[in-house]
Amino acid sequence: MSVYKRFHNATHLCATTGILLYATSSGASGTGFIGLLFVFFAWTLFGRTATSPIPRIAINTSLLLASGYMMLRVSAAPGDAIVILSEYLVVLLLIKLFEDRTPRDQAQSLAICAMLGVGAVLTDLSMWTGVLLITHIVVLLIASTRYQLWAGHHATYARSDTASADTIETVPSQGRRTRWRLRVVTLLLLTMIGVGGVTIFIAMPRRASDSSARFDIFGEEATSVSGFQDHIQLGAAGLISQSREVVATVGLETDGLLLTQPVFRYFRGSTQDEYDTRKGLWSASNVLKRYEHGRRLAIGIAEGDHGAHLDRGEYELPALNSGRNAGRFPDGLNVIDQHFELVNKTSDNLFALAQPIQVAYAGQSWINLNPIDRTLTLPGRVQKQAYSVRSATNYARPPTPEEWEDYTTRRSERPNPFEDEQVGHALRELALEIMANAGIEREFDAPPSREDDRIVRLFEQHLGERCAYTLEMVAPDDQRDATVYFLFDSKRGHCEYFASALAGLCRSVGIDARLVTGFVTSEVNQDTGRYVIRKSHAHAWVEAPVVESVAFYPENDPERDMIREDRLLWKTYDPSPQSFLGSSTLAGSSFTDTLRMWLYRFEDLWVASVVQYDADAQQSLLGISGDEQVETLGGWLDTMAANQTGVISGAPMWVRRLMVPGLAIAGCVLVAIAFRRLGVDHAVLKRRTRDRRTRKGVTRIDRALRRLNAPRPEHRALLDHARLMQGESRTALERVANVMYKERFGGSSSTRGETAEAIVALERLSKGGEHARA
Amino acid sequence: MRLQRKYRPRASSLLFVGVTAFLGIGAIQADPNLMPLIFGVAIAGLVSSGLVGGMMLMGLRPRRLPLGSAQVGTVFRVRYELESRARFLPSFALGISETPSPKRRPGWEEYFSREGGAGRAFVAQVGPRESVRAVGRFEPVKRGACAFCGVEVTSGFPFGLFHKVVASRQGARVLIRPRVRALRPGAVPRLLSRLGHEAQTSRKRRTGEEFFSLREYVEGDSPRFIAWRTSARLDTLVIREHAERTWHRVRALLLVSPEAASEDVERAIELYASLSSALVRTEVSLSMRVPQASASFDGARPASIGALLDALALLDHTSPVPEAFESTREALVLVRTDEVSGLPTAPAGCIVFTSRDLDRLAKSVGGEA
Repeated sequence: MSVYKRFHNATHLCATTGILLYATSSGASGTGFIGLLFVFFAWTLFGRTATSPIPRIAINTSLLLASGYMMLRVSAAPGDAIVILSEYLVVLLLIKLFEDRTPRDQAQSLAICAMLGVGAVLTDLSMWTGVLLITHIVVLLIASTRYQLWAGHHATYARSDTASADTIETVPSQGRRTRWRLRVVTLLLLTMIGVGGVTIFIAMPRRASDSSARFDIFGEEATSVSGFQDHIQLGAAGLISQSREVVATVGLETDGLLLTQPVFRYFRGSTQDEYDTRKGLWSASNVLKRYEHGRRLAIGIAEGDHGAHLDRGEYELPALNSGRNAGRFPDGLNVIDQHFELVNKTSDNLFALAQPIQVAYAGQSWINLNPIDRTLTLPGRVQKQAYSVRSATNYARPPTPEEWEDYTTRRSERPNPFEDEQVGHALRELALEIMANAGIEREFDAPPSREDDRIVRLFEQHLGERCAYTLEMVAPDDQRDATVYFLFDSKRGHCEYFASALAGLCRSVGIDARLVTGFVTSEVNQDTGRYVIRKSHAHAWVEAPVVESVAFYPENDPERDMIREDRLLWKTYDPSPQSFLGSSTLAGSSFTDTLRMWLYRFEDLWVASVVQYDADAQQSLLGISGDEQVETLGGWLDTMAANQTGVISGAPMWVRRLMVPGLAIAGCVLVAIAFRRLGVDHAVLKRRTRDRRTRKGVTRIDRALRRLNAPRPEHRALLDHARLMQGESRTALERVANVMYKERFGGSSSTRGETAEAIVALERLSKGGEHARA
Repeated sequence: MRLQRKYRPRASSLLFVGVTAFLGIGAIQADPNLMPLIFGVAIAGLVSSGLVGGMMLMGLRPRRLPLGSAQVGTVFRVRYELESRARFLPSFALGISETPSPKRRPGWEEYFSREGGAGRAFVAQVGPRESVRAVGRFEPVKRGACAFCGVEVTSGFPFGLFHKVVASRQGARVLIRPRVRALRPGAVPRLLSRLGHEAQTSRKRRTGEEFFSLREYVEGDSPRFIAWRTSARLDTLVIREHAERTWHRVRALLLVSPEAASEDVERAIELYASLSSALVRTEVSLSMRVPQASASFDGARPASIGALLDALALLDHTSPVPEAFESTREALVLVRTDEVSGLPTAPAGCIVFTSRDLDRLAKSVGGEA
């Protein structure tokens, strides 16, 4: 097999792993499949030649279109810049596979493959991404070594008529021995890089994980592609990705006993009580946001001051009914303690089972409790976050009367989209029909009652029977509301559509339901006894205010015992078919279950030893603490980030949107200038420019000759053709040929003007109409 | 043999270092945590590339084998030998080239084309304690004498991040002869007819191959030469005589005007070299004179052309021109530059070619003799 063929195979293998890596990290299986098809075609159809079968103009047009499309997309969705840039890199790579195989183009392909690895790391941290990343690095390094052999060979012999067989006279170690030696050296290199890379990964000083300042141009507009989100955007078409990346692990405990039953657990993250029918967007209303920082629960302070203070640095929950809690919590309280370890905290929201009453964590900031929707927030994005929450599922500490009155007043003032003509009318008709079939009636302005629970259950049942669950969505027409389209037309959707439809039906009859986003999981790692939360466990469901008998502490009198009476309670309803949730518990004993169990064990190992490896883990492993210099550098970066955020946040949004493509273009220009300045490939660039100019000149000359009725055959040189002509046209063509050859081979650029003048003279002559038959 | 080792940074290596620095900043921020792994791999790649690449060139000894003469328009092959004294580690992807000439001094670079991989050789691998020979293709573009300073071996293996160089000083001088082009068909016969040469009969009987005359048989003639058919018709013995063609002597002379442009001079030299090479293969008794190069060859044979071309390679057109032509009985063919200032007037009967006649007489470039 030739050097070219070996390198060619290595490059295509590298492209394959790169595209697989992109598809896995971004969840873009469709793009990945199409990309792999392209690689396969390039590998098989274009495998034996170095000359592209596709015209240059088509390649350049594709590059231009792809770049333009990428810029448009980045400016439209700057928060997804990393994913879009990765996709752009994949497209570039595919185009490059069909280009002429010059060393420069191949080096660019390898560079793109390397950048795909960086893009994947910034997008996803799952085990499969890690495994593919390591495979990709190995293949990339092998391809790079083969590139050196091929590029050197190509640069020396590409234009030579006599190939290496002629020029290498005595080659005692060509053939099998060379290949073996190359393999051994490659293995040595890979070992060195593997050991070196892992050593640096382990020993590299790290910053403490509570630093929160980051470079973020778009601030709150930045969104994540998959997994948990603090809002719900309906109406988008496409396939929802199912990433298995681990988001968190949770240990559940009650009365000191570990809960390991594979029961679905709803971990709430955020609520949305406002719906924009024009955008199909559910988000938290300003009224709700007012209470976001309403109460601070930190370092073991129980909500309502019913807890005890713990020292900083600890985050264990205080024992129930001990210390300051003594006598506060009755025996009948159904309490579950949750010990969370978030792998990568990318939003302010913390997750917890319903009704959190106590929280503890080791850190500098406060954890906030919203008294209206009872969600927890901790500002900042960190790599690893551990905290504990105590929830009492049969306990309700309602908002204070002032808080509740303020909230209901403000809510009544804002418009309810489910009351208007377009959306509300259709939903209301359906809701009334369902209620009428069950013989229930309800006034729109009626206060919450026990009957409301039955009504919501009826709606939930209706959705379960009439609508199907799917992850592949079709966008509604521009004029139609996404919820209405789901309920009456497509009747297919995922959890967000089910939840939106249920909330819409409830609101159309006056039940003030809201959406909740978070995670639902029943996956328990039997080795650790902890629930595993993955991105694919992200879910949306509904909470509606109903009247139920609940236990609570009377307001304004904390010394009194807990009482039980009918109170307003936000109850959980999940309209999505339970079948889609599935069961992820490894309880079986079949071969596949055993395999899955080992796979999950390996995944746990990956998360624990790679993804969650931080300063604390480094301290416990190596016994060294974070370097002060690194902290200083980190602090400097934080200051820069803060300054940058301050400067940029004042700029208009369109400026911020254009910033990423603008920076990308500026970077490319700088790199190009650097290449030119450093003189790299300067001779090649000069030669190519000269060749291009010559080609253009010859095209113009041929056009003039055709007009002179003396066309030149391709094989005949200009001077030879001139000698076959007569009259002025012969003289003019001879002059053109002479100055052109002088410029082309004499290496003199001063004749460029002369060449242009001579060609113009010839063209002028041809327009004059002289005929000179060659 | 004195060896010099150095690292030659390239734009790609600087770019890689820049990207690695950015990765390092991202890794310090540690968000996400795979960034330190990527950063670690990048750093390890840099270090291992430098270490392994440097070690690979440690035991290499490049050597240039003795050189011959080069000629403009003809590929000049320079043979190199690479010897590895390493015990274990083989060397890969080795580019061999001549050491660049010191700046501000005209070097070998101006005599050779650097395009299309010319001027370098490549060896895929040299095993430990092995030696490999490779040939570099040079394409001379200008006649003259140039000097090679030394040989250098470059390798970007394994990842092309650093280009390591081992250079050894080995001075050598190469003579680049002018281009010799094949003349167009009919050009030489036309020239000979212009020279007006006639065949002269040789009185040496029975020599040569051309029929000359018949005469009566005399005692002692070999019966082999009796023309039997004619003898039968005339009824007396007749001997057939053969003749040997001999030519006048021709002198080919080159004169270049000190005032002539460089291109004019080169074309005149090229025409002279081409014409002499063509004439020396005919039966003309040729003498070649290049007074400005002090070169003189009488009774030239094809073997003399090499010496003539060597002289032409070193011809300095600013050398003094003889004031008058030597008187000679030989037919004179003068090749001169188009520019005539400073040249003596050609004598009557002399056939004169100027540099302008090159394209008319010789085949186009590519048709080397």
